[in-house]
Amino acid sequence: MAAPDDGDHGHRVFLVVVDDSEEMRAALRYACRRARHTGGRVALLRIVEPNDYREWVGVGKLMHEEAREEAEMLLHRMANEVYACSGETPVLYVREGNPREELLKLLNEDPTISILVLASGTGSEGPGPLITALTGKYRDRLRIPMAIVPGSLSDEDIMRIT
Amino acid sequence: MLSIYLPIAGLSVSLPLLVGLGAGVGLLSGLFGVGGGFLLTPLLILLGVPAPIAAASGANQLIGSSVSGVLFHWRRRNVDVRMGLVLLAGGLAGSVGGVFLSGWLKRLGQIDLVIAVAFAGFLGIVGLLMLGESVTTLIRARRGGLIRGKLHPHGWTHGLPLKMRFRRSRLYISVIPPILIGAMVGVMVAVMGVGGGFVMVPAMVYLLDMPTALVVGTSLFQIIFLTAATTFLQAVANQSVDAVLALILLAGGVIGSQLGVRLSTRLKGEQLRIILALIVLGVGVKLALDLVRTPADLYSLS
Repeated sequence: MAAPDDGDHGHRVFLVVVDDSEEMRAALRYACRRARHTGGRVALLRIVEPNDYREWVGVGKLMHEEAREEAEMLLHRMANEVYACSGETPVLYVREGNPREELLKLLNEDPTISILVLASGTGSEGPGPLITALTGKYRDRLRIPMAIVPGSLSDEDIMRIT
Repeated sequence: MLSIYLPIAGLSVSLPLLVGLGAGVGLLSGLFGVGGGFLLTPLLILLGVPAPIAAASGANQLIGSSVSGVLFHWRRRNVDVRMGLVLLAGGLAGSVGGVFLSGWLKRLGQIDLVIAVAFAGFLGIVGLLMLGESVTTLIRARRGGLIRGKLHPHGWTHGLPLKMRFRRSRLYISVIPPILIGAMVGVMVAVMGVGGGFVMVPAMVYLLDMPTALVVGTSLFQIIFLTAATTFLQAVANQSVDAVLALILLAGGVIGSQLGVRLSTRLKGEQLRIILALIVLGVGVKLALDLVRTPADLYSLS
């Protein structure tokens, strides 16, 4: 990728954490639109949580393999969507471990990521574990800004504000 | 020492020992993510509780640990309800059969022997398999070996009638294999008081070809209803549920499993597995030895 001309365009990478929540779509939508308008890119991160199945080694390993394959397939499917709406192929990351720790680790390792986009949950259980952690106890470990997209925004709402 | 009389089991046991046993088994189940019935029932037998009462009261313990497990998987949408219900249908049939079987064996006076032999065999086989698997993984991990994938030898299941679509598992298979697996586990729950996750999970993975992410949640889901129904049936048909025993064990189990879950995050999986295999094997061997050892009191009436 070319060096940024005026620091405003070119290198902006929007990282979206792909989980199984409904509101994740809002974050993805927002990131794609913003990337398109600012000449940036979208990066997708899927974290595979380790399974705690311990009775049979063979079954446990198979679980791990399947979870990993599933994550890769999901990201490839979403990559097509991202390409369609942002005009750029996204950067894909699959990590294994605790979601919060892996996210912070990736942000530290990869300086090209310039903004983290998360969507807040709409239910009564709060905004979601990552937002809760990163705005609370772990806020000091975040090295880049974080955008929180309300999960209740519709696609039209997001279109309007981007 | 503080003793408590168990009305149905018909003996006095030290209360701290019993709570400790419940907590110990709870600790193991939290630590290994297993139901723990496969250890609870034989340990109760070793304590002197009659085998059918140990089996029927121990099954109750499984409900507690399964409920907390299934909630975790339910939140992650890792339960195939439809598959769970088909397994449960088979399980209930197996459980009814098992309850009658244990009632019949009780009338013949052979129930204690059958349960002890079944456990010695079951624990021996499971313990050996687990130990073998753990040891080979340890050796392979040092050499850097490969992972064996899913086997696909089940062409025979595709020829069976009564096919059903399991959308969550992305399967279109005959209901006969899951019903048979459920029935086998149902008999085990009724006769031995084990949840059968040990057998059911590999069967679901290798025989039904279910996505592994759904297997644990789905098996726990059906075990809750199966053990609840079995406890009820045992109480009504064979009067073999000791409520005092079950309650004390449950109280200990709740405390123990919380501790176990917390501890399990700090210990390594490979070592844990070898310990579990050795415990399983040890209990099996002890049961087998008790079967052939000359009793201290040769002429007892019970």
